[in-house]
Amino acid sequence: MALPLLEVRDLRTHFELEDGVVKAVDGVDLTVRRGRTLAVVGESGCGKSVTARSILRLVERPARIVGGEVLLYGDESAGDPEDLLAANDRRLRQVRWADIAMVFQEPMASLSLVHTIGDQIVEAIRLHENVSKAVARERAIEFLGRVGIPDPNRRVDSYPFELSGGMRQRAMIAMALSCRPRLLIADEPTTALDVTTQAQILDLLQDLQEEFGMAIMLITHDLGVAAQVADEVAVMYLGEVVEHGPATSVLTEPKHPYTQALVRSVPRLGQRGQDRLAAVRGSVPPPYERPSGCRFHPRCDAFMAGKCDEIVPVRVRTDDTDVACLLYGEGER
Amino acid sequence: MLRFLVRRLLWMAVTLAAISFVTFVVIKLPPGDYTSTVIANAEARGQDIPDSQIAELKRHYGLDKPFMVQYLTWISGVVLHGDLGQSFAWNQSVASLIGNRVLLSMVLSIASLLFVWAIAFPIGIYSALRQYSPGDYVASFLGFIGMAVPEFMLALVMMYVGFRYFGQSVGGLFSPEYADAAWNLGKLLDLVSHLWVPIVVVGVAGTAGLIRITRANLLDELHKPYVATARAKGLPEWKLLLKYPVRMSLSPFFSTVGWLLPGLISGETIVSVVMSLPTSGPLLLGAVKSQDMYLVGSFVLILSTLTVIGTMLSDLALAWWDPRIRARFQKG
Amino acid sequence: MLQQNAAQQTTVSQTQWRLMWRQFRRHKLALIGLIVLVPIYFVAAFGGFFAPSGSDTAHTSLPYAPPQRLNVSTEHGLFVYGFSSTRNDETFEQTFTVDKSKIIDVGFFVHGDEYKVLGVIPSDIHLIGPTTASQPFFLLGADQSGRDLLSRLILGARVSLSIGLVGVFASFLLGMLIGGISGYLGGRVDNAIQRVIEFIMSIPTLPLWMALSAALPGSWGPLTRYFAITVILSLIGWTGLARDVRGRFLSLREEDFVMAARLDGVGRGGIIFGHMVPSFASHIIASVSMAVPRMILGETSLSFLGLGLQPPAVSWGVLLEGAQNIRAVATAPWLLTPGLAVVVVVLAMNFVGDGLRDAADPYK
Repeated sequence: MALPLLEVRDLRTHFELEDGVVKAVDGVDLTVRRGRTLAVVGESGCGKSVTARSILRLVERPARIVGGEVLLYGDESAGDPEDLLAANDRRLRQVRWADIAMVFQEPMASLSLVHTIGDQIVEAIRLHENVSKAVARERAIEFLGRVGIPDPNRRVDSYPFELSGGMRQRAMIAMALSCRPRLLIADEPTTALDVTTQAQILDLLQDLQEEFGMAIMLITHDLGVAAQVADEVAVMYLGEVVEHGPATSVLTEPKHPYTQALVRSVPRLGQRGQDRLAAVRGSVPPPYERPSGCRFHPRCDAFMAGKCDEIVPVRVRTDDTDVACLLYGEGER
Repeated sequence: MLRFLVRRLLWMAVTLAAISFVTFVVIKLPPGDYTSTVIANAEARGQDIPDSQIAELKRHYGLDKPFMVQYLTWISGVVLHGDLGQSFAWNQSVASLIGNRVLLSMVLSIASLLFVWAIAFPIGIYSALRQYSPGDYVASFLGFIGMAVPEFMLALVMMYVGFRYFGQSVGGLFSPEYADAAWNLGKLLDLVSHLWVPIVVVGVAGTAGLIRITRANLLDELHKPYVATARAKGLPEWKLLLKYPVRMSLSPFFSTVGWLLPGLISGETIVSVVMSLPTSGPLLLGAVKSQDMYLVGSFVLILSTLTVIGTMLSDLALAWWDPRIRARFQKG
Repeated sequence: MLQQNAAQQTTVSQTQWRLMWRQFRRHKLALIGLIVLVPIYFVAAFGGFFAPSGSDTAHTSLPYAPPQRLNVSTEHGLFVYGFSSTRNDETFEQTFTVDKSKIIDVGFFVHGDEYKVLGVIPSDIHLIGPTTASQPFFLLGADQSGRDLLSRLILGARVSLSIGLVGVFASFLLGMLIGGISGYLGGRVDNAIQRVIEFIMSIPTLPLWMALSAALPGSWGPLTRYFAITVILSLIGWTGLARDVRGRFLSLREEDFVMAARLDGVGRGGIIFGHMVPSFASHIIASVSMAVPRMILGETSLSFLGLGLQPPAVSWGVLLEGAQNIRAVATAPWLLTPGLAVVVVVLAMNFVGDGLRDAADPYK
């Protein structure tokens, strides 16, 4: 198994609002391995995006990272990892984009509309490498071509609003790769795109991963997407990771009742007509009211009264997956 | 771009024609005309003007012709010969009466515009970046006050303070020794030293409004995803704020000219009356009161024309500043 | 079914208004503004009672008399001192000094100048005033003809405060109608209306107001003139509101619930007044509330220039016209108090408008 590149330990990011505290991320543990793809899946509002943003400390008021560690490992030969949450601002800015780059959900909104694409890529390159404008521009054109943008020599001077959604996301990916990061965090990169474009972008990401050998952390609510590209999957529910393991195990033999419910809700080709597509029962509880015990218990099919609503499950290794569920292990009151 | 320019110019011409017509209609609204004023004045002096003389007056000023003829005569004179007509009350050509005054009005309005920008943008940006800080509260509160105080009130208070505590009049644009002198460096410096009071007075309301707009715009932009992208790239905070959200929020810098300029000219008009500045304000007021129609018409026409031109320039500047608008223009 | 629908709708809109009120109460400045405005409007409505004298009661021997201080003593109860005036023989300027030998008794609910409560019920009771009506009583000083500024300020409030409301009502009707047509029909009509609005907005308002109000015949009475000025102010003031309404209509036309209503076979009027207008009513109220202070400032400016209301009508602008002469202001700075009143009222209204605008977006 590949060595870890990034480890998130007990990450807690809370929204401190007037009416109370929303614990959007509350004790998340994740591992991204070198050159591999980790898919983080879960329903909207489970804290996937906040987790992704917390890694680069991009959360803004009223959200605040209140605890945990984000450990970034150096080269294989290097020693102890460094905790990004403890790094000073200067060091953090060095890590951003040079080591960890990000692609966001809305390709229209996440590029500045009043700067050319080339300008925005050149800026990123020159921020981290001491190269001339001309060299940076050459590299921008090269990367634009690499991500499949036709006529990159001309497109480099285009504004984002002059491109289609798919092309914009490609440009965004080119920008993210321009400093050859070791980790690419892609936050729902295909959600805003149509299905065909979605598939193209996913293929592109996989090709680029092979070529550059970077790790990818893919945030998605779409299990199909996860199945297509992920080596490992982490399933999040209400600010916690409830199951974390190899994609094949998690998606074909899910252990946690929540993962099972999620998997059941995905349509499969060749599925028989009479098997009705199952949705996860109930809905995500309101943000200020976290259920006691196991957070999933009000919606769980395997709910054990007197146990699940009182005992907080601890993650345990079952086969090759980590699961936080009282069916598989003990917990703490 | 050329097509856009042509279209914009054509539209401007239509607007100006409409403005000139509306002005002329407005001037013609009052029952009676300039002769009524002459009669009233004569009666006030206890004189009586014979009907034949009134008819003579009417013929002399073309008041007996149909409305459209009067309008066309006037407007063709304006367009073809730059002839704005005769002022009845002053018995002079309007052009000679108002030339210098309109120039000073423009100087005052544009200077106020620059003043508004220079003050409002830094404060608005600061307020947004330091939202809910004491500085933000102070700026917001001063902004509210600035919008609530009528310009003439501020002018009166400033004049009162100057008169009472500094024993000098802050009215006027020139010291007495320069008032009738020809233009030279000394006169220019004298003008500048007098100009700042009306500039501040005229600019306060606009400044207050623009601070609020800038702040609101920037607050809208600050949390957009592209700012997060820039931050994720590793840009230092102040640099990314200036390059991305602040730049986006500065579009009003240009688009506000359209509404700021008419407001500044209005403010300038009333402040000039209070501070008796040799600009268009006091003369316009006098002309309005005596229904000196060509004079009033010329003022409204010229001030509106300058506003429309200013607005068009700001549109062009906006297209230069914002590629999205440029693209929209190029398409259609 | 229909009834159920209607019942549901009322609960929905009720909670919407309640949400707005909750949000509004959080806006401290807006609440302060409201607390300031309510008593001011109350005093203005019953101006005759609150003003110590009528607006034209003059003490011609006491021009520019300074404000008197209210005193209390066991001997006289509530009283003010009278004036003794001396005339400078060279400059003929009159100066007033407090004459402690002249005691003017002051009482509550005294009989004085006659007025009509709300323009209907005749009365001569004043909240406060000299017990002998002919005595001077100038808590805020006197103007050039020796008239009590406080009384004129209170009586002028009626015009100044109501002209904003009436004017806004007129521009509201115009703005709703024209903006609604523009936004609902869209296309060419919209384009034409937008051009007209742009045109009106590009003319500097004050010169246009001046020109229009100069066109009013001098022979018109105060009431006619009042309405004419209101019409002039609203003729130009409706454009902003029309734009707002149009913008709302344009964005709502595409909304799902409007489409749903249309597919349900609801008629045009039903869609507009049953679905679209309620959904942006709160926004319109907010922008209307922002327009009121602008109207008040407009009237004040016009009257100040001598182009608005004419004496003997009193409004704050008319009172300020007396302060145009800087020498008069220097000798009698209290002439500026109507200006202070304008600032306070406009400030309070802006606060309230700001609070309403925030509250109109309770989900933001």
